[in-house]
Amino acid sequence: MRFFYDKKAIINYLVWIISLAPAYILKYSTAKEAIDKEYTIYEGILYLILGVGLTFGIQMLIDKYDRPKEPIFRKFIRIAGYFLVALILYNLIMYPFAIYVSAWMSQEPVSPSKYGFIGTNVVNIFIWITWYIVYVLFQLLDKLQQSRVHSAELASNLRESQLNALKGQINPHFIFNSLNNIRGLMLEDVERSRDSLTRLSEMLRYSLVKSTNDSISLEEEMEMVQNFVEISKIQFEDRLSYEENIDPTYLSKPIPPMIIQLLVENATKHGIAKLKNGGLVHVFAGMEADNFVIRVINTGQLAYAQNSTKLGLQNIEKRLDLLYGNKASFSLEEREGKVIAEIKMP
Amino acid sequence: MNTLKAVIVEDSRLARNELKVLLKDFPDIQLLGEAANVDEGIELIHSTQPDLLFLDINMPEKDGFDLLEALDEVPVTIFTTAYDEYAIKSFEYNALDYLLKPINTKRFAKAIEKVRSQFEQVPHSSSSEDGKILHEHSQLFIKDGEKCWMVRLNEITLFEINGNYTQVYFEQNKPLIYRSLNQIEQKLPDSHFFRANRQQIINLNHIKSVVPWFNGKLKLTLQNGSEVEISRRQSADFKNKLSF
Repeated sequence: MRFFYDKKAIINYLVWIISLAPAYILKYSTAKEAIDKEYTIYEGILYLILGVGLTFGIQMLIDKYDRPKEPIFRKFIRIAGYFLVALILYNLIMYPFAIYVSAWMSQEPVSPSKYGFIGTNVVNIFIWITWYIVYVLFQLLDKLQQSRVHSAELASNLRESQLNALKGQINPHFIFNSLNNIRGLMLEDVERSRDSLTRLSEMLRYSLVKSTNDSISLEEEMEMVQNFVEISKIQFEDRLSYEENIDPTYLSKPIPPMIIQLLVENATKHGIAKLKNGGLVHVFAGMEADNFVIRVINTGQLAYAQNSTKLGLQNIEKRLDLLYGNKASFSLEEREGKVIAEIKMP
Repeated sequence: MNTLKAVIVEDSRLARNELKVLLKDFPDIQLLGEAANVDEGIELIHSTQPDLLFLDINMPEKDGFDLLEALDEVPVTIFTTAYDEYAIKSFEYNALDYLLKPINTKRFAKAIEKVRSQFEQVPHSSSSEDGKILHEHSQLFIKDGEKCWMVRLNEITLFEINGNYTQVYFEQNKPLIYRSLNQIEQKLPDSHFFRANRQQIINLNHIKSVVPWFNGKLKLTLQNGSEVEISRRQSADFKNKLSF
């Protein structure tokens, strides 16, 4: 019976011991004869066993017939019924004991007092009510604790899956366009087509495997950006020029994967791709006034991007928020015919 | 078999090359030219009047839909797209064919086959007898909000003024296009379309019944169930036309 050593049982034991102990200690110490003291011990033990046992009975009945949507009034009647049954059982066992055992031990007839009978039953009722209140409070606390743990788990799962979903985004349009372009390129430049296939494979692998990490070195990320740019150049040809300015001291700095890649992708998709004569994409990464700054600049106008980049930008903002909280920031603005996307992070 | 005249509008040079390579297996398709963006594409189509258009959806500045919207009459169009379910799904009616890049050779052959059979069914002449720009088999591209339709002129029952727009009725659809009824009237062939009154132009082949109406007017019921009054001024013309 797990009831007897369950953590809920502790309340049962404690409530009975605390309620009975003072009365019996008092009764024991004021008893004049040794035989009375002995009887007091027996009665106390029986009382405790009966009390604890009946309480377990009540608890079992409450748990067994518990209905989640039971009206509170019905529940009250039901529990009161258990108390009554327990009380009757208590009296049926305790009184014969009190009368016959006590009479047998003291060798003289004992007449039970009416006040003692009522008093004991009232005390019992109070103990059960106390026990029940503590028991319910304990259950509530337990539930609260559990739901706290549960919601913390949920939040961390959600965070993880959100991050994964955000990281894994590689534009399918890009993949299929690239494959088509490489197919066309094979007819003119086999070496470059081969190289492009390797680069595309690396990109796919990066987005599938590496992006499950929370962070990646700047160097690795930049390799992917270069792969992306080289493949995009097959599509845009001389419409796409690319420059980068990366502080070599930070090549091993950990950054969230796919983040520069995503900015460069946006810069080409919403900047260069919209311009008939193309333009320049510039990537900067380095320290500026205590912040690590990643900046992607492209020729073009922000207005073009407004409708469609939302998803990509939300992606970046969300990831920075999930990883760094308010220590990181992201901004996107247009200045002198250039669109500037900037990430500041610790 | 008639040769079909085709053009390619696609911003990536390599993707254009891919199409040209695929077209090599079809000697009856004559490639008249190629364009790298929408503006060049419109010019090319105006100057060459192709039967068939290979059109990329994503292009710089303007997209494939912008090109179609700028044309009075659209050639049979095959969209080429890398991955653009959204754009393809915007077609409500007469879903044109589309090819996903990289293009599967068999799929390409099927699309060409479909185009051919379309031309065999419909006799094509580049302009109608009465000198109007459009003829009964001309294909129109209609875009209303997010939805697109490709519709043949002879499928259209009615054009109706709706504010600054014109409402086009065909089958169960009635999209709005941003052109005035007068602009449209100038392009429609007289042999098939008739200005019933100031508000409406009807397709003569879609008339179900004609009854005399008061004040010398006529009342028509069209195949889609809508009723149209022919103004007194136009009634005589109308009777002449149908030789009453």
